[in-house]
Amino acid sequence: MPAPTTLTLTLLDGTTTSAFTIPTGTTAEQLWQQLIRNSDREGYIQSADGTYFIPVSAVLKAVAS
Amino acid sequence: MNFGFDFRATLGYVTDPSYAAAVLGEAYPNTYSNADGASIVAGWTGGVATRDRIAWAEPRLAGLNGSDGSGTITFKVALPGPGQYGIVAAFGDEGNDETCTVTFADDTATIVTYTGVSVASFHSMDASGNVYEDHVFFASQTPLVHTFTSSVLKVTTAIGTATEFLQVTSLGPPPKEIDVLPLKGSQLVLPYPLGLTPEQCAAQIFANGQEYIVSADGLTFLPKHAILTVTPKG
Repeated sequence: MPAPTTLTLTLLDGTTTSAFTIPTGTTAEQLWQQLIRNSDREGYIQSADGTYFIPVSAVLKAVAS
Repeated sequence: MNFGFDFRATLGYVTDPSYAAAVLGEAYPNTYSNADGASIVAGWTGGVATRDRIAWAEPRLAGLNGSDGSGTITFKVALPGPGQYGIVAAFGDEGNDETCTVTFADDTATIVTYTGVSVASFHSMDASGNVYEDHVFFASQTPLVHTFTSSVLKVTTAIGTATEFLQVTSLGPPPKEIDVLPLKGSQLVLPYPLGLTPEQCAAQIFANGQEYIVSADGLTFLPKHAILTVTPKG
């Protein structure tokens, strides 16, 4: 199975964010850890295109593909 | 499987409950059979002394087995197989104050140890380390629940610690999977860590600082706040 290259967030409202690119040499879990590092529910994730911000508390799941 | 062991010196001293058999200091392996028709292999390793104490009260606390003073002793039970078991136990001496030190273990690791617990006469310590007066003991005691990955229970007692009663009840096979249900969407099924009770597993997921759960294939991540239920499955 090839290594996943993107990580897609699904939010609690059912919407899906633009996928994040998984950098070469980084696992999907490492990218996910970076995204939720401030996961005290005050933190946020910046969308892949940098145009909007997602509170970590709004994230339902992340799927690597 | 539900099997009790009544520790004493004389077989006819009291009448055992139908699920229990008398232990008169036999060495492991010994086959015990109860009136319910069940049999199990168990017995002592180490030098054992046996006593009858009081026949007119609770038959499960009528006598005891303990070290003969030569060292710690271990009562070993060959369980029918891996799985979750409830363990009821009573330690103490109707006739003497004791300081009880007991270790419950499976084939490879200690489950729990109670060290230097003061148990007055006519009191007993249960499998969770609590001490109660004997006349309320069985209504008050708390069983020890453990998921065995092996099929061996070992109860080791120090010199000066008397074993009065032990009961082992099968609570079912060990869980194999964890069913994680998010607030919305489909469930995530994970392999269940061996050797944990369902409560320990859930506590580990929710309390050990782990902020997310990873699917078995490593591709899906659920943040802790998005988890609705965690259910072990057989």
